Amino acid sequence: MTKSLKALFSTALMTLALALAATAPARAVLEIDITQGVVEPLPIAVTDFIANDAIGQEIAAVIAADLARSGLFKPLEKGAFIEKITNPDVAPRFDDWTVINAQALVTGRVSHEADGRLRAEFRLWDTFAGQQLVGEQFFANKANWRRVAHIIADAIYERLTGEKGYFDTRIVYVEESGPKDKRVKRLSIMDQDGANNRSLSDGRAIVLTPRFSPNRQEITYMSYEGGQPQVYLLQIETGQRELVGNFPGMTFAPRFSPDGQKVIMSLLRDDGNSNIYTMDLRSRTTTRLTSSNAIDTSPSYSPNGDRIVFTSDRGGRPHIYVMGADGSNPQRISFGDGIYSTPVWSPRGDLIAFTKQTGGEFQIGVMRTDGSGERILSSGHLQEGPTWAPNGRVIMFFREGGGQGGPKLHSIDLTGRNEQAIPTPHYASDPAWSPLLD
Amino acid sequence: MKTGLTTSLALHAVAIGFGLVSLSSPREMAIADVESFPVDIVPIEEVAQSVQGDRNAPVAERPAPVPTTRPEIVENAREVGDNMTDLKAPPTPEPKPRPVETAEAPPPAPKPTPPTPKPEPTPEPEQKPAPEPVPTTEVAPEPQPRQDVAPDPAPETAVAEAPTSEAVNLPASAPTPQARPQPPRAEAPRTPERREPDRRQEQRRDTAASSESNSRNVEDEVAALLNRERASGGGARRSNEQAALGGRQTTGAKLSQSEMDALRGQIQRCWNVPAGAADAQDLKVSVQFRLDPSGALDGAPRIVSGGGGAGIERAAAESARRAVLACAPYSLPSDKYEAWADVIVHFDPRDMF
Repeated sequence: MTKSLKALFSTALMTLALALAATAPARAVLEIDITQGVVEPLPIAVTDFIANDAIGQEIAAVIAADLARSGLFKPLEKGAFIEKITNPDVAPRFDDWTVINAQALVTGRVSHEADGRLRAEFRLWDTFAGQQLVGEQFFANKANWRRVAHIIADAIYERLTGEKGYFDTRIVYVEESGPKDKRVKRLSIMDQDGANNRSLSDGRAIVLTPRFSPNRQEITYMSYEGGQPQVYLLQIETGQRELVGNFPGMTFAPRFSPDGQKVIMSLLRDDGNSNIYTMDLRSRTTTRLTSSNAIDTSPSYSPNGDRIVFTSDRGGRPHIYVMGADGSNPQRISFGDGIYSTPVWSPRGDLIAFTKQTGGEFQIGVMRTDGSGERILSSGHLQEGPTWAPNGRVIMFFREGGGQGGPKLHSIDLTGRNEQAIPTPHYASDPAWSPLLD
Repeated sequence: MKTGLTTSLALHAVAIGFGLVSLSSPREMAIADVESFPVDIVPIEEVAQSVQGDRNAPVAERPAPVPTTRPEIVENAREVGDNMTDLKAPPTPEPKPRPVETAEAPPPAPKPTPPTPKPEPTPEPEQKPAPEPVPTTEVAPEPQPRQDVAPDPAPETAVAEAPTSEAVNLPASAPTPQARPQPPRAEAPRTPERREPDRRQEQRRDTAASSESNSRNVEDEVAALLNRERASGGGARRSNEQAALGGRQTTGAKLSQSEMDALRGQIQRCWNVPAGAADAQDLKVSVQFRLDPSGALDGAPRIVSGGGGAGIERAAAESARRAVLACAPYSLPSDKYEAWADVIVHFDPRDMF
């Protein structure tokens, strides 16, 4: 009995062993979860574009400066390059670039066409994967060579981060010059990197809060030139100005709607009541949106145009409210301790930037559209007026250092990193970012 | 009131007196002397993994997972003979003309028949061709026993001794070993790629037949060539123990937690998280890649999931792939190569936001 049992046991063991051997997996796959990484600028190598004159170098320099200023890229020093690119159409020796840890490579060529135009082509390579990512070609007027560089930088930015770039844009702002008690304020416009600065108004009247139209080359702003503060429209190309509406009272804080058809602003009547109105630019009809006894101002549309964020002190202190585009159902979304003002809806639609005054300090912050996730990006003595870049990743504002100086423009990434000072010839305030030029 | 006070005082005195007298101090609590042990935390796989063994062997009590060094020492081929290749066994020496001095045994002609064995170094069979006095070279059979004995390393001493000592008790025929004596070794460690027992048997046959070496030279050379490849071999885990029940190869070798963390850290420092992107916490990418034993990438990494289309997902997938490419080669324990040859990494930035 035991003998047969033993035999049975050993046979069972044999079959088990055979089964084990037969089904032994070839190899197990190791699975790892990685939930942390580093947030560092991507090392990128921008080589000089092949050209007959210095323009190849200049375009490469503008591209590298744009990428560096975004805070997401780190252009490598040209002296560290090993391979010399002579033909951008040929695949480079990727090992020469991976060894200096360039994770992306930009090569290109610029040539002058027979008709006087500029032809610029570029290629973006992924050095570690050993393949080309983007290859494009542009024709442009010779005078617009900077725009070509910005467009190339946008293409590189978009391919590597997945988001649209913001380099081919302009900033309109109020340029301040002169002594502090007799400031001359002029409307000015410049490229987002500070180049091509020019004035749009002559400075005889005080101008404030200029804002870009989303689809036309025009600006709406507030000016004291009629004696009373009124909202005007200015055509950038022609310089033509017109008054927006004829309101009994002061109008200020104008903005365009996302479709560019309407201007939304605050109107302060003589009875001291400030409310939000919209005016259709074609039909010139005005609509009143708020009707409280409090001060409602600084309206801003959401990118899809169905909601409006504004400041109101109907709760006692100025706080941020969101209502429907027809003025319905205003909801308070800010509940922190302080005074909230100048709310701006991000073009990406996910965040609202604002100015907050608390404890004697001014802060620029962002919060989600329901009021949660409030984050302060920058604190300073006197800073306000955030404006979003068209891709919703960078915020520009102006800060006054105190003392005898004047305000200057600063930009900061929405994660709070990479604060940069924007160079302007004189003092600057009230910046507004244009949409991407097309 | 007075009675109450006195009663109270009396009772209190009684109680306190009782306590002073009868209640004793409590027993001392003896603290046991506890021995402390150093404790090691060992992953279960080190105890429970399946080990390499012989499928047909019985279950042994003690498996032999520890790799041991090779037990057999292959001697260098001795320079014996004129062969071009190393043979498994030293070649049989051709019957050479022996120098006269060593033979020394047969006295010159005048003593043709010494019936009694003299204390001479002549072995017995020499007596057969005794009547031929002259060249000892013709004493053909004489070298034969030596020939048989020669391959033995052990009985080599006998060869040295034979010419000098008495030869009476020499056995009629020296035992002829069929093959070189192998050190006692279990048949246990058999890997399927090596058909060792078969080869060994072939060798035995070969060396046995090699005594008639002339006809088997080709096989010798072939065997020698094959032998040479294997004689220097090794590398598979061997064990001195008896074969134990086991699978074809060691499975279940798992990386310990700290080794996985090491690999995680190596990839992490190259992963540039797409910070600031909208819904960045939802950007999950999985990358699969293979590694060769030195830790370098074997082929291109492949995006398994995530990273569709254009825009942020594609950029996230490319940054994950770039992380894997940029931080190669990886340093991982080489003895657990089976466990990390194929890797899938799941990149999930949700903890960063």
